[in-house]
Order: sequence, then C-alpha cells, then structure tokens
Amino acid sequence: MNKAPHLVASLALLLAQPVHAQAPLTNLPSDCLFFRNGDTLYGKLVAVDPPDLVRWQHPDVSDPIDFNADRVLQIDFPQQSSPARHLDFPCSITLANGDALSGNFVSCDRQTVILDTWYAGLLQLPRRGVLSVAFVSRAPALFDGITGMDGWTRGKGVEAFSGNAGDWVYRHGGFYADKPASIARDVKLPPLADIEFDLAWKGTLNLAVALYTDSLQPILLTEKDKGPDFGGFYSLRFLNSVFITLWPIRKNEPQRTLGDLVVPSLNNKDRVHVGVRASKEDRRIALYLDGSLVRDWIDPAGFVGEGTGVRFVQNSTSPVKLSNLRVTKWNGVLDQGDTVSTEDPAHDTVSVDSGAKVSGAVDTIARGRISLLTTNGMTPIALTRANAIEFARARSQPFKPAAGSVRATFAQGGVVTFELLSWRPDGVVVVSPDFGKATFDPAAFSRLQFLAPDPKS
Amino acid sequence: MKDNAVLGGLLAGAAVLVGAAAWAAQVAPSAPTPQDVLEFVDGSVLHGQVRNMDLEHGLTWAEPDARQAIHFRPAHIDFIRFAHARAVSLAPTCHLRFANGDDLFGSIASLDSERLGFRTWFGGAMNISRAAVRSITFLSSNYSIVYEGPYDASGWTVANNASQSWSYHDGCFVGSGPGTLSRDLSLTNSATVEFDLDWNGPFQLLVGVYSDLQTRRDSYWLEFSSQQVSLRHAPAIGLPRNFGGVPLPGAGSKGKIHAAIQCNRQEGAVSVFVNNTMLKTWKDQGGFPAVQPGLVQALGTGLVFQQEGVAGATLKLGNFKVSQWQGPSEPDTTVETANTDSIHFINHDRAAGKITGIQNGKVTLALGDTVLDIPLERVTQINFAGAGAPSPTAGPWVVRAHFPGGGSLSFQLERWDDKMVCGQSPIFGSLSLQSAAIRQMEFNLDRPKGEGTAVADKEFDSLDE
Repeated sequence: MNKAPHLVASLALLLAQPVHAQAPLTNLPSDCLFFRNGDTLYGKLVAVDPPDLVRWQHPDVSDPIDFNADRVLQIDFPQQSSPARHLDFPCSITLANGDALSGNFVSCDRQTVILDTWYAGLLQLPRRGVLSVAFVSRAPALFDGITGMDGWTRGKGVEAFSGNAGDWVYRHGGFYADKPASIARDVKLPPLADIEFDLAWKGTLNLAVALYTDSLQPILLTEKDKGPDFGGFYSLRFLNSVFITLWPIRKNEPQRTLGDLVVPSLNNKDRVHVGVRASKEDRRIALYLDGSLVRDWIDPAGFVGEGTGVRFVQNSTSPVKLSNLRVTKWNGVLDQGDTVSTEDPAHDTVSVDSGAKVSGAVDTIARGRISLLTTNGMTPIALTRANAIEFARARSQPFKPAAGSVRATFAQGGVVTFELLSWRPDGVVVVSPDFGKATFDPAAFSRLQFLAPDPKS
Repeated sequence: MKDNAVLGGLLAGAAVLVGAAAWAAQVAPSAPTPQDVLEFVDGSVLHGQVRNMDLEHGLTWAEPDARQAIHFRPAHIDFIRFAHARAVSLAPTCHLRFANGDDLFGSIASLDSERLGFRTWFGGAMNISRAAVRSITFLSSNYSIVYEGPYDASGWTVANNASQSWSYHDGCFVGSGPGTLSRDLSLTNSATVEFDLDWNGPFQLLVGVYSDLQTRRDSYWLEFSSQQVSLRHAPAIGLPRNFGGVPLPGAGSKGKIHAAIQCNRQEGAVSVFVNNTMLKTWKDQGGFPAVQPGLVQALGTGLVFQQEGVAGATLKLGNFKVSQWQGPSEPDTTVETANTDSIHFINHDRAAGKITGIQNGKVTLALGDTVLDIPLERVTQINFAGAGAPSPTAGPWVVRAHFPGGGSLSFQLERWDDKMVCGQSPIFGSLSLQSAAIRQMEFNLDRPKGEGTAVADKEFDSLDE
C-alpha cells in the first residue's frame, strides 16, 4: 500500500492544528472540512462533484458555499452507528493495496471474492486483489467496541499520580487522553478470556491496563496498602513505549513482577494491536502484539485476579487512543500468532481454530465450506472453523490508487480507496478497480481524504 | 478622523528598520503572500481577505478556495487578524486603561470631577467620562516601542534548529522542538518585553534579554516552564547565578499567558508579569551588575527565545511588544478595583484619597481636609475608584479593535471597508478609524474563549487511521 498520500495529509493536519482547539459551533454533530493550506471549517457536507466542487453548509451562512474540490484535503464526519444485523461469516477483507473492508463473507472462486456489506450491498472483488480474509470470532462477544461513555467509569484522584489529571474522552469509536486519566468497566471477564484492543499514541506510550480488577477507580500503587480495599488484579504496564511488564497487585502484599520485556520495535511505531489471553486455571497471562505472541507469563503464586473488570490508566501527557476493545471467551489454545503467514507466498493458507495452518490452493469457498487443494488432494474445511485465510501473495495484484482518488475511513474501522464520482446525503457513488462501480451509504464513513491530484493535470 | 489621526511610521520605526537591515541576510522569508485570518470560536480558521463588514450583509469574506465571496453572520466569529496593519504614532505620554477592558495610548490634557480631557491618535482632543477610566499610567519621557509584531519572519534568526523548531505562521512563531529564535533590538535602556505564550505540553523556554547574539553570554535568562518562572544570569566570565523562581499561575500541561519582562537598569531589577499581574521582582543584593548604568557596554542588545528539548510540547509565541524607557520604573501594571482613588509615586510610595483634578502639570489629591498638588513628573500611575463605570454592552457586532504598538478599543461596529471603520463607542461616542490601523478585531466579547480545556479533536487526528 502506498501510504505516502496519507502521511502527507496527516502532516498537513498536524501542522495546521492550533495549540488549542474547541468544539463545533452548535451542539449538533458537525462535519469538519480541512483545506490543503491548513484551514478548517465546521459545518455540513452537502455535495461533492469531483473534480470541481465541494458544497458546504455553514451555520452562519445563509446559502451553501461552493469550494474548489482540488483545494480540499479531508472531510471528517461525526460517528454514526451501523445497523445491527445477523452475519453468518463476519469478516474483514484486506486488499493488496492495504484497504480493508468489513462485511459478511459470501463466497469465493478462482476469480472473485464476494462480500455482503450493509453500506454498499454485494461487493465483488477480484481474487488477485485480495490479500487475506480475517474472520471475526464467532464466539459471542462479552464486550465489543467502544461506543460511548455509557457503562464506563472515569477515575477520580488521578492527580495523585502526577498532579495533573485529565479525562478520557470518547470520539469516533475510541477513547482519547492527553493527561493522566483512568477509565474502567466491568466487562465480565471469564476465567478463560481473550481481550483485544488497539493503541495509538504520540510521543511515548505510558499506559497501565488493569486486568481482572474489581475496582473501577485507579489504585495508586505507592499508597495501595493505605487506601481503600480492593481485590487483586494484574497490571499490564507499557512504559516509555518499549518496556512492558506484568505486575500482580494485591493489597498488603509486597509488589512483585512476573517479568519484563523490551520491544524495541515499538519505538518505531505509533500504534499497535494488543491481544491478551488469560487463563485463571493455568495462572496464565499471554501477550500478543500485532498478532504475534511476545510473552507468556505464568504466575507461580497463583492467579491473583479477583474481579471481572478492566481499567485503562494513562500515565503521561502524551496523547493516546484506545479503540476496538473486544472481549470474548478464549478457547484456551495458545497459538504463536501471526495468523497471516508470509512464509509461503506461492500458496494459500487457512488458519483454523486449533491454531494449525493448512497450505494449499483455495479452489472455492461456498455454502460454508472451503475447498482447499493440498498435497493430500482436495481437503474440505468448514468455514466455521477458519480464523483467517491468506491468499498466495505471489498472485496478488495491488491496484495503485489513481491521482485524485479518495481514501475513505469506515466509522467501524477499515479503509477503502476509490474514485469518487459524487457524494450526496443519500448515496456516495464511487468506482474502484477492485470492485467496480458501487454506491455507499454515507453513514459508513468517518473520514474522506482527497489524495493529491495529479500535478500534470 | 481628526487632525492628528494617523499616521504611519511607528514610534521607533527607525530602530526596527535598523535591526531588520542588519539581520536581513539571515532570514529566510519563504512565507506566501500574507492573508487575513478569520478564526471562529470553535477553533476553525480560514485565510483570505475581508472585503466588507456591515450590519446588513455581515462579514463579506473573499476565500481563495471558494467560488464566490462568503457572507458570514458574526455570531461565532472569534477574531479577524489583518494581514497588514499600519502602526500609529502620537508620541504618547500616558497609557489609559478603561473600566470596560479597553486601553489606549495618548496624552492627558485635563481632568476634573466629571470629565477627562484626552488626546487620542484617532480622534484628536476629546472629553470623556471620568467614570469610564480605571487608571492612567504616565510613560517616561523617552518611552519608545522598538518592536511590535511579528508580521513575518524578517529580522528574526533561527539557529540550532531541529526540524520542528521555530517557524513563522499566522502572526506567531511556532516551535515543536529545541531551537533558538533571536533578534537584535539594540536594547540599551531599561526595557519591557511582552509576548503571548501558548503551550500544549510540558515545556522549558528560556528568554534572554540583553543577549549577545553571538556568544549568548552576559544575558539575563528568564526560564519559563509549565510550572514556574525563574531567573538566572549567565555572566561573560564566571558561573551562572540563579535567583530563584516563582510558581506560574494556572500551571498545567496546557495554557496560555501574556507575559511581560520588565528590566529596570536604573534600579537594577527584573520583574515578571503574567496576565498583567506581577509575579516577582528580583534584585541582586550584589548590585545586579549587568543592568546597572555604566556596565551597559558589557551587555548584548538582543532578545533570544530558546526552547529546550522537552519532547511533545508545541509552543506558540506571538503578540510581541518591546519598549525601551529611561528613568523611574514603569509602574505596576496591575489595576485593582478600589473604593478610593490612588496615586503611585516614582519612589514607589502610594497615597489614597480623592483626585479632584489635573491641571497645569499637577494632580490634585484630597486627603481628608488636606489638599496636595503633586507635580505629574513625580507620579507614575493614577488609579480611579471603581464605582460608576458604564457596564459594557454585548452583542455580535460589539467588537474590540487591537492596534499595532498596543491599545484596544471596543465599539459597536457599523461599517468596515478597506479604508475606514465606523462605529459607536460607549466612551468616545461616534468614531471612525482607518481600517489599516487595526491589527486584529475581536468579536463576541462576552463569549468564553480559549479555555483550552476541552480535549481537542484535532490534537488526536494523527492517532486516527
């Protein structure tokens, strides 16, 4: 994927941002228009007719304003919820150009992968443009997605940690903090738990994640024995981005650690997907970063977690974002991660729920069954058993986005790049080398980024 | 406009030009053509050009990215900063602060129990209600403004610069990493350095006054952090001396202050004011040699801002005003509302009573049955009792104009075009100003602004996918 246009856009936005910014003019959710020169304007998008026109309604202007589309860098939209519906095979499809589309997996043959989406109906994707399919766990989620502050408890007394407290705030499907702040929720962690979330940060990451806590208020560890009673919990701590440690915490017990690790690669990142698998019976906490198992801690003194909640405590003034929190019951199988292998680019690989991977050539996927041609012949695999499918990279053909394309971010995660034909409140008409012409529901998107037009034109 | 309105040519324009010429070679003014800046109370910003303003059509804005002029109603405008503002000059002898928050430089003609005779740069000699005046500060006879801005990066030098350090943007210098920003201002007399400082994370900013821009030695360094302000002196020879610090009001990881550093050579003192309140005055018992007369030649003449290497913070510096003066200290700029009038003397004594008039170079102060006639040259400031001030009116078209070199005036805006601004002032009545004499025009004066407490959407943008 060519990330350059995105990076340029981000840099422009970063330069444009004032030291302080405030809220939109009205209490109603507002769209925000970003210009290439760094200017911004809140209001409501009325229409886009590339390559000429972006029509915008500002609350203090009687008539819509027509802007030159080539001067617009980005448009942000307030979060909207997606319609609830039953999906047989919910998945996220990653395209060879880096785009990611969510929906219900329908079928696959040697030429086409079909995805059913609520926002654009059936999308037919050329198989050579599809890199992988990651199926969302079919285990019923105990918690799935941050959708607001409801059910969460903001911590009090965080100023005792550093003297300069703030709050986590909700925005666009995530929590954000740029001062020490605590937020917690009883997510009913089961004895076998799979906890997944995304972190993004600026500067250095200093975050403590309390697991199996019964306290929705932060615990000042230096004063834990003098403060209010609390049940034991595990504190998973990210320090200065690269140091990670796990502390079992109990009142009136000396502080101890289950061991530290250093992940130097985090120094070069500003986001990571975190996975935690926990087993009370096995006294185990396993940590995955970006899908790879990085540490498997066993507590020799027994599992200390006494609650069923999680708590996130931001410990610095560097901005941090927490999103895509999902809690499910874990099957207890500790795989090594990297569900998408790159070791065998010539073959397709199916990862199944036991942790095993089967290589071969996917012939078809239909009616809930994968037909995989392996060295042992045609092997059927129930689609319900598949965690992920990686298609042979050697055959993949990423489509390079044309100059002047639009990169759209889905409100529920994922991105898609296309040529925008028109935007209206009742439909976004696009054309893509991946899926052809399609009409999207505007509510699907949280952001449109207008990639740089071709300088020759 | 009356006879002495405007005007062009700054009080110490010559000093500015000399400085600019000397340092022009070190400047890299790569900025595009300056444009007016329109900022809304929600933080959104547009660059373009103000075409007109009137009650019927609102603000007519020429936006280069738009196909037609835009007519904004003023309900959510925070301010307009004009690309070009021409300084005005009156050789002021005093600085008036008004009860409604306005302030103007000018000259006092007379005062009685009801009226103040005052000469302004925009309206000539006027009689205004005494009740509207909060204080009169008398400037030293050779008071001059040596720098006011910035309007661009010319005359400034950036050195030791990391990639994200000082750069000019929209009337401010913005720094996100270690680096120095300096300018030779030919500082030789006592001086007051004023600036706005805006930050969004823990920071450390050194401000060097009377700095030798080559060696950075023999300077007084004020160190601002998100927690405190402290002073140290780095002599040309010997160890630096620390004079201690004082907590910064409203300390925090984000904030905005207006700072003033007052260096009084005659008294060998350095004072720091934040938001017009004096935090501390440092005096070296050993004599503060660097600011005493006779040792001036040992000092530099420049001003340096040096951001230290604290990660994550972005600083914004703007609204610079550097003035020089000689003689007695500029008085405390703090104006507290009191029930009685008061006079500040050049020896720092104060007297409270009833000021009955100013005439023939003397101010008359009634202390019970005693009446004192005090020569104005013995007076640094007069504060008036707070009662009776007209309450300010609110409304979307009540604006406050800020002028180059200092001073601000609020009025009900009636019309603006590229030549003149017309309106109604509760103090001065009907008035008209040259549009070019206004640097910034503030709207919605009664709306809370700049709190900076809400978590900024934009601040987190780069965390999103």
